[in-house]
Parts: sequence; C-alpha cells; structure tokens
Amino acid sequence: MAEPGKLTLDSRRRDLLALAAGLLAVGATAADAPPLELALPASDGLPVLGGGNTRATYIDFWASWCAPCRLSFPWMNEMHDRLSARGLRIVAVGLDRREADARRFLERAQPRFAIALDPGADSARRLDVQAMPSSYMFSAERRLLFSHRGFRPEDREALEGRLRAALA
Amino acid sequence: MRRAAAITLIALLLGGCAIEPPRAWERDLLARPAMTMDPDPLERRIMYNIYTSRENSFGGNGVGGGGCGCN
Repeated sequence: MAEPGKLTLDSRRRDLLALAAGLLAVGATAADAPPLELALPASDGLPVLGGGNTRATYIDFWASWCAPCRLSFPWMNEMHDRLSARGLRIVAVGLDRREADARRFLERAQPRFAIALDPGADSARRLDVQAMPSSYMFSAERRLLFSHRGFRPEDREALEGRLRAALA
Repeated sequence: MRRAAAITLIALLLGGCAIEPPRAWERDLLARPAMTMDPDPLERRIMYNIYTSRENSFGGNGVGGGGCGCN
C-alpha cells in the first residue's frame, strides 16, 4: 500500500495532467472549429454569414443608441464603395430590442451595404460580442480573420489596411 | 435545524451576487443621457468656476481670487 503523502502527490499530478489535457483540448477546438454559420437573413437576400461568393465578409454589430456606431456607418459606406468590387461584403447587424429604433437609425445613416436585424441578439451571443460596435472579418471559408472592438475615427486607416490585407 | 436555515439563507443571499452584468448590446438604457452621473457638464463647470474662485484653497477648477470668478 502506498504512503498517504505519495498518494496526494500522485493525485495532484493526475489533476495537473487532466488540466493540461483540458487546455490542449480547448486549443484544438478553437483551431479545428467548423466554419461559422449565421443563418439570419440580411437585406441583400443572403444569410449574414454562409452564402454567396464573396471573398471576405465584414460583420459589424451596432445599435441605434451607440454613438461610435453612428461614426462607423459613413466609413463602412466608403469601404463598401471602394472594396465591394474586390469581393468584400459588409453586413451590419442591428441589435436593438425595438425594431422601430433601428429603422429610425437606418433612415439617417443611409447604408449602401447589407443590413440584418437581430433583436434577440443570438448572432452577437454566438460571437461573444463584448463592446458596441464590434466587427468581425471572415474569410470565404467562414473562418475568423480578425475582430475589432469599438470604432474611433483614428482607427479608419488601420482598419482599411486590414480589410485590404484580408482581400489580397 | 437553525443552522441549516442559516446556511440556506446565506446560500440564497450569495446567489444574489451571481447576477450577470448586462451584455454589450443590453446597455441601451444605461446609454441614455439621463443615466449619466453628470447630466450637464457645462453647468457643472460654471458652478465650480464660481465656487473655487471664492473657496481658494479648494482649487482644481479655475483660478481663485474672489468676486464673481470672471477672471
């Protein structure tokens, strides 16, 4: 029979091994995750993510009450005009609980890119949105290329560079 | 019996600490102007300018000197 002290050490080692295996499993899950699908329909007739022949999809989560979201819409219009011919699809997902608020915001913002409304915020929950606005760039294979929290006017150039790099 | 009741009560009270904070998209009510700690920053600035011009040692919001705080 083993000594009690040794038993404790063994069980500790076993716990550590189990923890390490768990962490490795988490890492493997993130890397081998299946392509993400967001079936919510957007205004261009395609699902938010998972349809069409776009080279990359830029998904932006916004709400009518969020001030930086107001700043991001003119920039996204610009990006749509410059990069849609190169295969960029922009989808802005509104998370307002009341659709009327979202519609009022859209009347002012006049987006030229695709819009989807998700009052239940299921899509935001799936991507674990932490800030408003938040944006996610997906490849044609629907794998996450990068994400960005918030929107400041000084982010514009750097973000455009990242969009162009994703389309290259 | 009393101890069990106390433990249950403490467990229930601790459960109150587990309330999830609002998610990013649920902050619409918190984003309203009425929810800010300082609803009128200009009014606050003017008030403190006058106050600190008289309460010189308080400082931090302008130059002291008495009077109306115009300088």
